[in-house]
Amino acid sequence: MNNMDSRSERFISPSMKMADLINSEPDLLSVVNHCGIILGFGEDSVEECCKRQGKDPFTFLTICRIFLFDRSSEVDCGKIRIDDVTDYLRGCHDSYKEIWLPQLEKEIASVLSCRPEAQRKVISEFFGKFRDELKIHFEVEEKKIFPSLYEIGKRGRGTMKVFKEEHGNIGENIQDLINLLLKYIPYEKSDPEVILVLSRLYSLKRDLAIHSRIEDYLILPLVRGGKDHE
Amino acid sequence: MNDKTKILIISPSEIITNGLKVILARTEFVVDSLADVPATVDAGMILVDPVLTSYNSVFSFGLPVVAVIHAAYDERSLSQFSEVISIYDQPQVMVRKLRKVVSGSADSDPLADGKELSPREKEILVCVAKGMLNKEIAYKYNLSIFTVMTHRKNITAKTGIKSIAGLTAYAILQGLIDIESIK
Ligand SMILES: [Fe+2]
Ligand SMILES: [Fe+2]
Repeated sequence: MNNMDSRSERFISPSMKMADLINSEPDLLSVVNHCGIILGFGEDSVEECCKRQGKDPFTFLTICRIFLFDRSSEVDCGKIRIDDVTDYLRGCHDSYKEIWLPQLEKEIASVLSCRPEAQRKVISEFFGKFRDELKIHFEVEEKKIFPSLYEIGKRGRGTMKVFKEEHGNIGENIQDLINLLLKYIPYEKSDPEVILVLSRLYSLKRDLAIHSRIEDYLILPLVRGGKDHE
Repeated sequence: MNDKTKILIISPSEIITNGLKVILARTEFVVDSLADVPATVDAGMILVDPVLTSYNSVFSFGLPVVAVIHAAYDERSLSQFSEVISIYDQPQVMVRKLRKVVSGSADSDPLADGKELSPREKEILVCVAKGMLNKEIAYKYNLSIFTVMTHRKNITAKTGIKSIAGLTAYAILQGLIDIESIK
């Protein structure tokens, strides 16, 4: 398994064509998107695409690697450009807040529209709570944690435990929602719409987990002031 | 740390304490003893002699608590312990009981493989949904905090639902509580 990882990791380099990278790992489209790299890159390399948009190729590829390979061993926090990371993370937050969550809320309501009032209410309240907590988490990151990264003396050490714990809670909450919809709504017939909503919830869960992982690997060490590793 | 469970024996009797130490010396358990309940405990399991008037406070540590009895004892009080061993038990029976307690406190509780929630689990779920704390639930049903925690673990293992809000939603969907009763 480790061999596989290192082999596929080696293929990612600044000199490869951006289009080849995306074609072999289509999930990275979301990184391209949230890093603000505009499509239509023709035959340009990863490095050329990043530089044209004023982005640091090393930081971009570090995010891509964590995104794909879940490992922190080769992350060199000293070399990454904080601005690019926080821009990327903000981009993700915006797409959760403005696209994913409102769409899912609408779709869940539509799927449950034939269910008794109590069932609709329970799910919509649970979703609402999840959404609000997520938004607060994003806000704390954007208003407190990200700005603190620029003031080395003031990096909030006290916040790091909460930060990591919350990442665990986010994953648990969305899995709870999935289980409620998967196991405990007594549907009357098979409904392709429900299947679609569930697959989107699984994607959101996966996406949020990757997002949290990138924060744990790239932001947490900075919050800690790079002093300790655990 | 996982394979060597630390046991704290709390008993005013040296005969009981030393007897247990001899039996447990041949096992994987690491044993320590005290004559009375301390303020803090660094152990994985507590063996307590219920003659101690202060024994009730051992439940607050959230650890499995085993009663060591040497006489007939009131059934209802014993129900709050994770296990009961008698000083007349054969040593291998005693050790087997203690091992069962240790494996029961691990994540892989065999009970959790059951499908439906048991009546007791349902009762505890309703309390959780209503926002009760473990210690309040333990008091209400005369259980140890450890037992309440084990029930909660099993509820989560069966349903796959971890958060309190999720468990509340589950309880409502199952008709165990009314949506209005939690407002
Ligand atoms: Fe975030
Ligand atoms: Fe986060």
